[in-house]
Amino acid sequence: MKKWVLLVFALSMILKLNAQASMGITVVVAPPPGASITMDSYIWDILFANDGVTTYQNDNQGTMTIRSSDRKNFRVDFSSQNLGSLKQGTDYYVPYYIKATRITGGNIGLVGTPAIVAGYVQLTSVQSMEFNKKTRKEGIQFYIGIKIDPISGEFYESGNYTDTLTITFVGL
Amino acid sequence: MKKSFLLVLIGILAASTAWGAQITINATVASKLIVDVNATAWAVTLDNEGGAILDDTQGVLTVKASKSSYTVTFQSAHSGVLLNETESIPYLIKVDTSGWNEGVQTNNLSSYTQLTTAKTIVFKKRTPTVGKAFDIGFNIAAYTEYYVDGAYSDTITISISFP
Repeated sequence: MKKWVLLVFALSMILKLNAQASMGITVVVAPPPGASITMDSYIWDILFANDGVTTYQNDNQGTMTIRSSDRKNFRVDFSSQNLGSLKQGTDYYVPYYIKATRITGGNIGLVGTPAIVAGYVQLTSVQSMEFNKKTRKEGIQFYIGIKIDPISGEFYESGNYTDTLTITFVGL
Repeated sequence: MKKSFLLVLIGILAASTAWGAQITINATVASKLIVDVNATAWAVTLDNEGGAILDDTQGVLTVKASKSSYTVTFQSAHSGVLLNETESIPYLIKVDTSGWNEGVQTNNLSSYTQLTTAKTIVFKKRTPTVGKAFDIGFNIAAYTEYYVDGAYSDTITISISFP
């Protein structure tokens, strides 16, 4: 916490000194001290059978660890660069679905049952999980699953598809 | 100065509220490019009495493709003739794609054609997973001279590729 205060103070001083000399300003964005979201893997490689029948589903595709530090109330947001679809070039999309399954037992302060916990959801818009309790020091964990459904009787355009899934810690 | 202060404030607020992780999801969607025929051997009887042989449904070609652009190629081992040692009988084939015009760019076998060189059908649409089926026709033109009797044969190779 002290380092963070020092950083903001230093930044303010630099800006104060140079404000009239230059309009180019760099704003340093840093995490709340100690708060973090980490994954066991930041690149997921998936092979989809594309036979019009077989679903790809891996409920444990990744493991997410949330550490809230001293934040009691916080939210974790899930968003997709291509609104819940994997994209190839400019014309081809494959919709996919995400689910979070809690690993950590006990009372973790999860508010209600968010859709992304209740089942697989497409990230056409931001999906959130809200918490009202600080995590333990080592954090709380969720599996992140991914599912791709076939279109019955049809092929997807074969090739390589990609999307970026962003998981954001939001202090409330 | 006011703008600077505002930006710093925004930075501080952003820093105190949001942080996260990014995951890159890479999916390889498997490629399906398949050609198949209902029979790999055609037995044709030529009675040597001069009449043409014409069968618009001699065979059935099934194409399965998960690409939007691909080419099916027909090639004859003997340049479009049936061979019996040094004797030959020219023949023609046809592939009827008229039932799926929206999926076909060009069909060089839309009418009876001799495979003196490789002939192609260029498609512009993915097939359903069960594929698309097309009749293959076979034709030997009427003749005024006898062919030397015996067994004649040729091999047609059908392949599929994408750019």
